[in-house]
Amino acid sequence: MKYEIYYDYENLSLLDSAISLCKKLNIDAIYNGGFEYFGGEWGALSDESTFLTAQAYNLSLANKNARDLLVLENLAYKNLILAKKSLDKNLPSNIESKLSAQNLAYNPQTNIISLSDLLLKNEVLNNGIFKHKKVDFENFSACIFSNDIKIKQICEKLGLKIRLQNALNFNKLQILNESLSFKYSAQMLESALDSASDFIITDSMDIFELMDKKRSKLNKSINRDLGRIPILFLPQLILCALGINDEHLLNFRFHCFVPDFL
Amino acid sequence: MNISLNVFRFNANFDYNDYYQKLDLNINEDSAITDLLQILASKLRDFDYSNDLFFKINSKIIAKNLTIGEIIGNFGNKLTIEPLSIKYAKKDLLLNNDALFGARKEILDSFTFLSEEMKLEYKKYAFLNLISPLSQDDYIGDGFAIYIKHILPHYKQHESELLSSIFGQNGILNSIKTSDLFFPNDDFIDSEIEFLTQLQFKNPNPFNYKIIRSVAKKYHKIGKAL
Repeated sequence: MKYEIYYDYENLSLLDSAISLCKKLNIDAIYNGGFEYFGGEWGALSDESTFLTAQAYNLSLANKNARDLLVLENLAYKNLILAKKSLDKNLPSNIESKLSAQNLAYNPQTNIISLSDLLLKNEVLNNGIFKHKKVDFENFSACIFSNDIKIKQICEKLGLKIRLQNALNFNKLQILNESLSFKYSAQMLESALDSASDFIITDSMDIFELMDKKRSKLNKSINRDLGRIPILFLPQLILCALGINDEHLLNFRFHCFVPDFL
Repeated sequence: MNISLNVFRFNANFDYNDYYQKLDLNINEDSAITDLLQILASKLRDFDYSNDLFFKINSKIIAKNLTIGEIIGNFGNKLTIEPLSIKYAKKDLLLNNDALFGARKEILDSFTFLSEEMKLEYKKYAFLNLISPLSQDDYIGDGFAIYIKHILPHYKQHESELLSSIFGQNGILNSIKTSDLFFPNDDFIDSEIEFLTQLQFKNPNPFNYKIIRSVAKKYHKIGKAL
């Protein structure tokens, strides 16, 4: 299968580590960029027309290159799936004409695949990850902050003990009331800390931004030092399992809290 | 099947603190959760619960009468049984509905056009406010929002007053998706709240414009290519 990585946001550790992982596992994935990202949790509700146009454009770009759209990030995946359901049923004529002005066409056959789905594919899991696996995670435990249950399946296959999985995400509150977003995110991070996990795994940029970049604000919001527990993206975890410790592949340089087991 | 239970116990009339009672049971995997609750009531002294469910097993909300086999298949055979909210626990798995109702009574009383009977109708929805991880001070509550949605058709002439109670600060835009908090996942609350959120964005007011402007600012509008 051939994939095109969907990406249009500033989080290089997720993107670069995913590209490194695809190369290591011989997955044919290209990254041309040029996608549109609109709305986060609010886009579909606040401006449905712009939201659908953006997602139709993304799917048409992948269609043009005859590739499946490989999505690394939780909210981007949810938004693409939500839009595809609507667009497959009824493609608005104004969107169709905007696409055709760009020499693009929407094709309902274009597939959207999440990174966790791809990694659980037999040929990737058994002929890729297990074949090259060098590091055992048996002595480690982690929390997952995502609603994707497949991430847990992947972690357990790597021998990693999962202390808890939490699907909540308080990022959307930032637009309305920043302090609420910090307070509840801090409580969530506190639960990971208290579970004695070594690190947190997420597929959400928002969780990463809040719990890594803005940790000092989270500390202040609940008057507790939430320590240095690192936040890892799934491709970084898999690269570690494959024994990769090259910083240019792992891309922890963009993290405020780097795992010390490295 | 052998199961090992940790059951939340508390009686607001007598207990200063809550505690957990251990119990090992052998139970048929085809038995329903309501059967398990019945067994608990027979084995644990003075144990109270509601057949309407909405309590927690291993931190997940149980709203459907599943079989023990389905529960063990997901959680294993060590189960912690707790009420929907420990803060609002009245007796074991039962909640303090009066306190829940009281938390929104002031707003209900401000709707002078509502009959007392209609206000009391909120008691049927109040427990749904405990599903969101946000406290009742930070969020009007899913239960209150769904109650407003359900009474709306009866008070068409007071629509804007009713909706303003869930469209403002700490209103439904503070809602957090709850489907993953249930076992199995259940989006019945999310779909009700989504309906109301769409209604809110169709309803022009300065608060909505602020949100729409913020969304457009935070996530760039398309325009590079289209």
